[in-house]
Amino acid sequence: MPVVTYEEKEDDQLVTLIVESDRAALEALYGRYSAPIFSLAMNMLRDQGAEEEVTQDVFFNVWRRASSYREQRGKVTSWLFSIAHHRSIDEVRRRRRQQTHVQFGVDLSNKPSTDGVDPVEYATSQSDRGHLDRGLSRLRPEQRDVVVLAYFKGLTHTEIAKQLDQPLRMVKTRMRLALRKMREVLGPEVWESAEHGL
Amino acid sequence: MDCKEAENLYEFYILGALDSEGRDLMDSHLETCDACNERLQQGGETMVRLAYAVPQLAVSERVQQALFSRVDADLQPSRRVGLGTRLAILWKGTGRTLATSPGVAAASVLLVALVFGGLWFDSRMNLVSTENEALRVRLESVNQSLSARLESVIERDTELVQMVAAQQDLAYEALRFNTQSVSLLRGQGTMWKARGMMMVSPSEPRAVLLTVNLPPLPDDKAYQVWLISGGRVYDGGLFKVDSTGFGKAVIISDVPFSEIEALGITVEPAGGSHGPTGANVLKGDL
Repeated sequence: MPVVTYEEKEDDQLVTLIVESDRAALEALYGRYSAPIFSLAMNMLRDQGAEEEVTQDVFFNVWRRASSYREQRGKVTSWLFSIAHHRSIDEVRRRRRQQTHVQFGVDLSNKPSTDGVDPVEYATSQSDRGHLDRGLSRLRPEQRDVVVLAYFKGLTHTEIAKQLDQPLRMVKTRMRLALRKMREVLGPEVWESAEHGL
Repeated sequence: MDCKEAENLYEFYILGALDSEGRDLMDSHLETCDACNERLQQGGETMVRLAYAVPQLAVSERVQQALFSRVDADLQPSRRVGLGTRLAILWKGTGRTLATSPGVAAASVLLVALVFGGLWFDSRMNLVSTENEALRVRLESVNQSLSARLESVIERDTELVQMVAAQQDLAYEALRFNTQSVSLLRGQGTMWKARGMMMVSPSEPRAVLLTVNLPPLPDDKAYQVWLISGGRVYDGGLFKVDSTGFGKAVIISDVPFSEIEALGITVEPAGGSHGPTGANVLKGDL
């Protein structure tokens, strides 16, 4: 019987081995997903030290809590990226609580951030910055706003409703429609091009 | 939390828009509810695709080193034989002898006490050693992480000082003009270091635009100004920056500046475009 290396094992097999404290299984999982998780954290935090710490924490969390993964929750990637996203959001929110807008006596914030409807970005219909902009540009502006504010900026649903001056049920509806649209536009080619460095 | 309450929060949970308390309640519910887990599966997969859609970067090796130092430290205590196991092995061997002879029994009790004491001490030393090693590894990991963050902070501080100097240059230029209003522009995306200022003339339908920290463009590209009013976009003209990243342009608008709501600058072909097509580099509200 041919020996299956760790790199050839499925994700759920690796997680099962990690539950049994198999270090090599964690190495294989790390090799597979550390880059996209790091990239996600970088996109949200823009601070290399913090992103490295977040990436480390995510996989150590997997090491400690591998037994909490259940097949009913979906694929291992969904579970893993959920941990990564939540950890990144926690860091974004922690920084927001500590953030000061005045440094060196110069107000660098210019104006209070209004990351809602942006007339220039709304008018800009095309951009050449990869799958992310292509995916988001296919959303209606109000749907794109809620995705950016929630997924990348870490705002809670009540904060989003307040910032956009919309009722909570409207925010929920826009999120649902955005998720449905993104499922269509972010196809499997996103994965493939990420793996091949395209 | 029951399924009905959870269902109301699906979208917020998938996009990470719940606060910590809400997320914990949802996680607890999902530990036991297969039905809700199945309904969330599609959303979870969509979020994975969204994560892959961001620009992909390489991870430094030090992250892996720090991670597996923690993992190795975490593994250490479980590889040691516990004190209870050692006592059980010892008791099996001496228990039978104690039952047959009082003298031997007394000596054996003393021996057991001595051995017990020695084992206990040995175990404590092992534990202290292991804890020290775990602490050392953890400190090393934290040190590496802090060094990386310090480097990042120093780099950021240097850039901020340069930005302050650039803003001071802008302020000096602004003082030279007689202006009705001044609007500040902020850099976008990768051009976050860029700054701009638009000064509207009080007497003529024109404004002066100054920018700093915009990179010079190749000959086939130019920066184009867009004026936004009433949801429509108007061409504000083209400009280039010099080798230091400083740019200056005069903006003449068909629409009164008092009606202009916002300004944006994008990268366009050298001859300009009819509408914004390129990356947005600077923007501001008027």
